[in-house]
Amino acid sequence: MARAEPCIVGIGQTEYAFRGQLAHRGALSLALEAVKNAAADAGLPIDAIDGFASFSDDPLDGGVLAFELGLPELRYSAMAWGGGGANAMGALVLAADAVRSGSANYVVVFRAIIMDETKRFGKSLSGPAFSGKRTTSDPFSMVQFSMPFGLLSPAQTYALSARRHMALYGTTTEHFGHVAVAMRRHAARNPIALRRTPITLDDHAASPFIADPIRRLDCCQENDGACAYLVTTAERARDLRRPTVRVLNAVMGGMPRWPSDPASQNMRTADFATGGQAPLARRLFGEAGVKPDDVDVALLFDNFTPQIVMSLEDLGFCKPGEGGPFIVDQGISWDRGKLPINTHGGLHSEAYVHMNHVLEGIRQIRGTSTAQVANCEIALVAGTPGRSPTSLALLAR
Amino acid sequence: MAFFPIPFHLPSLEGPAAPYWAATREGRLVVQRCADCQAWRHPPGPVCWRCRSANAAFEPVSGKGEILSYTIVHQELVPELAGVGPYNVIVVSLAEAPDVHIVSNLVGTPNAEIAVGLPVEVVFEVVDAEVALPRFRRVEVSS
Repeated sequence: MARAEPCIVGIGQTEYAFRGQLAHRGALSLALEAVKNAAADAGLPIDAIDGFASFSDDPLDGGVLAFELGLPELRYSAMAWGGGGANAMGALVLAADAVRSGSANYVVVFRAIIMDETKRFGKSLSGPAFSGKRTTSDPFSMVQFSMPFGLLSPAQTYALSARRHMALYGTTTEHFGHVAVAMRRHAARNPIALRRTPITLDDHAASPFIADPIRRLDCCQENDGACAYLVTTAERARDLRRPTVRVLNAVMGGMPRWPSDPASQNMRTADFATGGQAPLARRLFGEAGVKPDDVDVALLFDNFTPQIVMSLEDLGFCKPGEGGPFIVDQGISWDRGKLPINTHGGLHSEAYVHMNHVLEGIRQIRGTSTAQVANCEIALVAGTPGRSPTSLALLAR
Repeated sequence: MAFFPIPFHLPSLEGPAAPYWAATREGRLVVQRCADCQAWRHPPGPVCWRCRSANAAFEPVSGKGEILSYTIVHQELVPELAGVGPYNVIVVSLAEAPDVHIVSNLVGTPNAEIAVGLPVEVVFEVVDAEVALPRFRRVEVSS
């Protein structure tokens, strides 16, 4: 690419906490703390921040943050559409475009989550208004084709692609167990991870089913917390104090005929047992002139462990159907794996803040992870599979 | 017999899916189809994904298909589900339109016997005067 490369020059976060523990602070307070920490990490005066980007219907916007921080000039504020953490790297696409074009000089990508402030997972469904009611007043709603049949939560939805993957390829729940064990082993080294007690394959096999084949130990957490990172141009990055992390490429997009809200399960049959990221991965690598073999560490969206199996296939690390054996035979651990995955412990064991895995990708390139991969030059970071749009990025030294 | 002892959220009876639910109430499964290029589409929407025509009709289908995937739900996510589960959720790929997937439940077969590829056919559970939900039962294949 002839275009000037955008760079990441600062990262910030709040403490991560279990659902509800930071509710008293509110998302705005968390976001501001993360933004301030990102600027401090970069050694950049807060006044220099002139843009914000986020994703997934974030209730906060750049105007709110600029007002609270008293910024002298807000030049850019944008949000990438998409559900959950799917378009987390879409926000990086926006920030990168903004600094490349000169729309803004220092753009903060941020995410703050207070679980109970948003309609999330099962909790919003319960209560006296639940039974016998219309799914929604929106006649275009997709959930009218799923909720009347008891398909209610992400774990249940993602169990469907996992089950078909098992039927098509012989993938086993033990493959999923290997992912869970590896995530927890990584988290045990990470002081900010919330779930650090090591687990075994036996622990996984004894874990109760949430939605068969997905067990409790296949599920990510639900957390309160915030993350932020600062994007600028390579030229401006030279004046700052941290090692520069280059954005080799960042892409957002969707598989043809992949529903934005997958509740009705009407992706094409041929794509059903995938995460819907394969075309995007080809674009990610092709435009960057990088191959999957060049990737030193992958920070993948492990909302549920079967997604790691499918992501490995979508992203070209192995062929369709080979994700399970890849995990067992090639390995995904930070010290022994052919492809270390989620060296911070993932959403599974570090925290679920939609963007904390991006911060880990930056740490790996900086060389500051608590499970540092040797000679780590290229990191791949992924948004939630199974949605549209979803997103991917390649970070490099 | 009702699949769930307490009816869950019910579909919208207005908007593009109204003919779909009107048909299920009459005991018919219909799928929206482009009147110009004949592409099936589901959930119902305003234009054809293939030729972008706005001309469409709801065509009856046999209600036969196969289980594309399924899950057995153990978690009692809401109070109304206390003691109900484990219950199944299936995704049916329709015989006439394999890319049309119907999320539903399998009735009359133990959860342990559910499998990907199992042939099924539609049955209707009348919920009230306005709504009937399409569910599925196993089809015994003669050898």
